This record gives sequence, C-alpha cells and structure tokens, in this order.
Amino acid sequence: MASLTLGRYVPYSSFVHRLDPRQKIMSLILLMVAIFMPLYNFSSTFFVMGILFILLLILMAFSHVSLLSLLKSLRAMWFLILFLMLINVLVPIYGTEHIAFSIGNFHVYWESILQSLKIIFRLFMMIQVTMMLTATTKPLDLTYGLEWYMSPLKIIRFPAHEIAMVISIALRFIPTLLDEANRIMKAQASRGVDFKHGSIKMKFKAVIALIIPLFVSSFQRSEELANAMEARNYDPRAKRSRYHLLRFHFLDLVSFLLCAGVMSFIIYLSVANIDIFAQFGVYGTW
Amino acid sequence: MSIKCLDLTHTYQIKSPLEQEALKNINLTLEDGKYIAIVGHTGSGKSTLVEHFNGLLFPTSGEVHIDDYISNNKKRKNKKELLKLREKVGLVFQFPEYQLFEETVLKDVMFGPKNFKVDIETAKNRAIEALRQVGLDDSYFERSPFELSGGEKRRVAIAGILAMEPKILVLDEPTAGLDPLGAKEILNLLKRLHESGKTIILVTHDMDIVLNEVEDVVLLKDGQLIRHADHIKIFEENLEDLSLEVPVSYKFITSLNEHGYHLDVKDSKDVLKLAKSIKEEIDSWRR
Repeated sequence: MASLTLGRYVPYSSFVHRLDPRQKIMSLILLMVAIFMPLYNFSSTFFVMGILFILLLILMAFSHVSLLSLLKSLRAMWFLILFLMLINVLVPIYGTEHIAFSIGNFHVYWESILQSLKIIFRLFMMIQVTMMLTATTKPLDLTYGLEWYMSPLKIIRFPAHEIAMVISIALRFIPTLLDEANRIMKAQASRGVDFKHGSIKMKFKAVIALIIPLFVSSFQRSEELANAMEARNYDPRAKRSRYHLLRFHFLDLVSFLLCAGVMSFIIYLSVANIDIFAQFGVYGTW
Repeated sequence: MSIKCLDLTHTYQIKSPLEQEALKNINLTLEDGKYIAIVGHTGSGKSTLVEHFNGLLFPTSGEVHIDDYISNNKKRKNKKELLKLREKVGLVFQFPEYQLFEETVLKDVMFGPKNFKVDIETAKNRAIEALRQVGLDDSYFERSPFELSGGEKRRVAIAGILAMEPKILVLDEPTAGLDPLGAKEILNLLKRLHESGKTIILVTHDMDIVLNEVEDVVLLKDGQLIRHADHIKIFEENLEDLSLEVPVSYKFITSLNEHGYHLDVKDSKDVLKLAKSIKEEIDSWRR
C-alpha cells in the first residue's frame, strides 16, 4: 500500500499548488521534452540534467513535495534498473572504447554503464516532474485541465467532457475502493485467509477471495452512481457552468515562460550539438 | 476462554498528520459464556475494539489476552497461533454479505473451515449444519450466493463464520439494514447460540437490543470505556449524552414507576407480561 502514496495530492498552499492546472500540465510536457533531449556526450548530458535536477529539487522543497516518497520510487524501479543494466552491458553501443572491467574475454564498457545510468536518471526525473504535478494539483483540477486541452476536439465529436467525467469518477473512487479492499481483506482474514504467507496456490485463492467481492461491490456502486446521476437528469452533452473557474494568472505566465525557456535552451544545445565542457575550455570529455 | 484488555490503546496512522487515537487505555474483562453488547455512538471505537479480539488489529500499547493468546505491539507474530486465534474467535463484519465469493452457498460456507485445515468431509457437514442453524435448507445449498436476497446473504455470511465453530462469536451490527423480521430472526439465532454455550459479543447502537437481548454491556465513548455493567444498570448512565436512544419501553416503565408503580424493567421485552403486571398492580390498588 505504501507505493500507492507515490504522487498523491498533498494539500499545501505553495505557489506551485496555486498555479493553473492547465499551465502545470503544459510545463510537465515541456520539461519532459527537455529531459529526454539527446545531448552531445555523457558529461554534457549529466551536467545539464544535474542542473535541471537540482532546480527541480529546490522547487520540490518550495512546494512541500516529499523527497522521501520520490526516493521510494527508486525502490519500486529496482527490477527495471537491473534489467536496463543487464541489457546495456550485454549489447555493445556505438563508440564503446573505455573498458571498465573484463570477465575473461567479455568486456564491460564504461559507456554501457553510463548509458544505463543516463536512462535511469531520465526515468527518475520523469517521475520527479510527474510527482511535482500530481502532488501539487487536486485530481479534479487535473481533469478539468485535461478537459480544457481536449475541448477543441469536441468539434470532431470527440467526447472530451465524458472522458474528463470518467477520469474524475475513477479518481474519486480510488480511496473508496481501497477502503473496501481493506475491509474485505479483514473479513476474509477472519475466515482464515492468509494474504501474506502460504504457497502460490494459497495466495491465488486468497486473491480470488478478495477480487470477486471487490468486483461485485464496484459493479453495484457504479450502478447506484449511474442511477443517482440519471435521477438528477445528468446529460453529458448539456452545456454546463462551473463552480471553480480556471484562471490564468501572471504567475502562470512567468512559470510557463521559464519552463519553455529551459526547454528551448536544451533543444538548442541538442540540435546545435554543443559540447558544454568545450565551451569552458575542457576538451576530450566522454 | 475470556477476553482481557489491559491498558489497550490503539492509534491509527501513528506518526502521520492523520494520526487518530481510536482506543484509549481500555481495561476490560469479558467473561466466558456471556452475551455481551458493545455499545457506543459512531466513531466511539467499537469496531476497532472487536478487531483486536481476533488479531486483525494489534494494540499500539497495552495488551489483549484472549484465552492464552497474548496480543501486544511486538512485531513478530506467530502465524499458526494467530490462525488458531481466528478459529476460536469468529468475527462477523458489518454488512458481511460483501465477503461472499464462491459459486455456491455451500462452498462459500465451507471456505472458512477449509482454511483452518479441516478435512473436506467434516467441513461439508459443518457447513450444512451451520446453514440449517441460520434457517437455510437444502434448496439453497447449490444456489449462487449472488442471487439471494440481502437477508439471505447475511445469513449465509453468518453461517460461514459459524461453520468454523468458534467459541466466541463477535458480530458487528448484524441487524443493520435488515427488515424488522429479518433482524428478529438473527437475534433469535444469536439467543439460541448463546443458550448452547457460546460467548456472543455484539456490536450495536440499538438500545432495544441492549435492553431485551443481552446480559452485559460495554459502553464506549470517544475510544474510552465509560462503563461495563449489566444490561439494566447501564441505563443509569445518561445515554442521551452519549447520543444513544433510550428505548420507549424503558421510558414507559420507569415513568410509570415514578408514578408509584412497581414494575420490573426486565418485562419490557414481553408486552403481554407487562400489560398483565400493570393490570395486577391496578387491581391491587382497587383492593
């Protein structure tokens, strides 16, 4: 259950929390692009990434996003990290020349290790920026933001409002379902089910004893919800007003320009293929 | 087979902003063979308390002794002993119908005993017996539990716990959401089980049940034990302060007694007997 806390909304009143969700979604995309831009070589990549990483850490501290839960995500990724390392070590990449160590005739290159570290670092930063968004934005605001981006598609009869509705209902029911699952687990534990120990077969049976009641009650819930919505004459196509209006403030503009600036600068570095250390007079870095 | 709570304290989500003390220093002894009600307003810690009785929750501090099992805040739990405890103390949750999942009613009731390593034949016999006890006959055995009515589902779920043959049966609001007749059937079943020697612990906030059904009452408020007394004495407490409703029959008898009658509160469950004793009293005045 602990891993589920990853990226959960944490109510604070920092300036990041108060930004317009639409702007935050856009910034997320801009920063993601920046993170995944290929740069001249490893040292340039790590240098630029490192600066961006530190900037984001400072921003995280300002907006009360927990560093601990970010580090926990690393623990959840251990298998991916292992897999990446293995694949990168086994598959030689272009320009491998620095041998880290050899096992008999088999050489492990520094480049392979750096390459996998680069990917892990990028993934980690991807989680970091996504967490920045989800931890500082109410799920409902997030869906409103998404709906806003999808609304131009309404012209081609794309069900933007319906999708936003479905997402917000799904988000709304996550805690409810967790409570429900917890309750059913306790009830089945009272009947002698052991969810933690036991053979694979026993665990399989235990999961069935949890999943089936959970499914049954969610179907029931969804039917009740649908009935309640219909009883109040809900029509997805109806024109509706909104209690919370999304407003684009000056601060939103500033943060958007900052993110766009960072992205453009990194794209420039990438496209122009600039060796950053060469700019400082250090040549021959990897 | 008694349950003893020593300074039992339970705190949910300790060391987090959502920390919440659900039980505070509860000292309590529940004797063997009694029919006990645990009463309190919503959020008074009733459910949290009973979840300690079969090792679903463990004390944050203090201890719970259930027979020879000692539940405390030590990390390591002996899996086998815990399983034994859960077999001894059967816990029926609120709205237990949500725990049904097997294809047939009989299989679902057999699920509990099978988990406690009872062989299939015995499990089946126990299941059939438990289903008969709750008043479901052979015609139900092969039906899917999902096609039954709410009250029938509830009875299947209770049978599922009964088939484990627990010595102590704990039920969390077993009559909630049932029609009056269905509720009465459940209460009659509990009475029969108690008469056959089982300890019954009932979580409720229905004071009519407290007045008419049980022997002992444990009164909780905001996670604290207010009183543990016999089911008549508990009405000495100011129940309205605890957001509990005093039954009309109790109010009726006590207000008649204030006007000089000598009626027994225990007669409240039997209207005919009550009417008779009122009449006798009036007759004795005429003489």
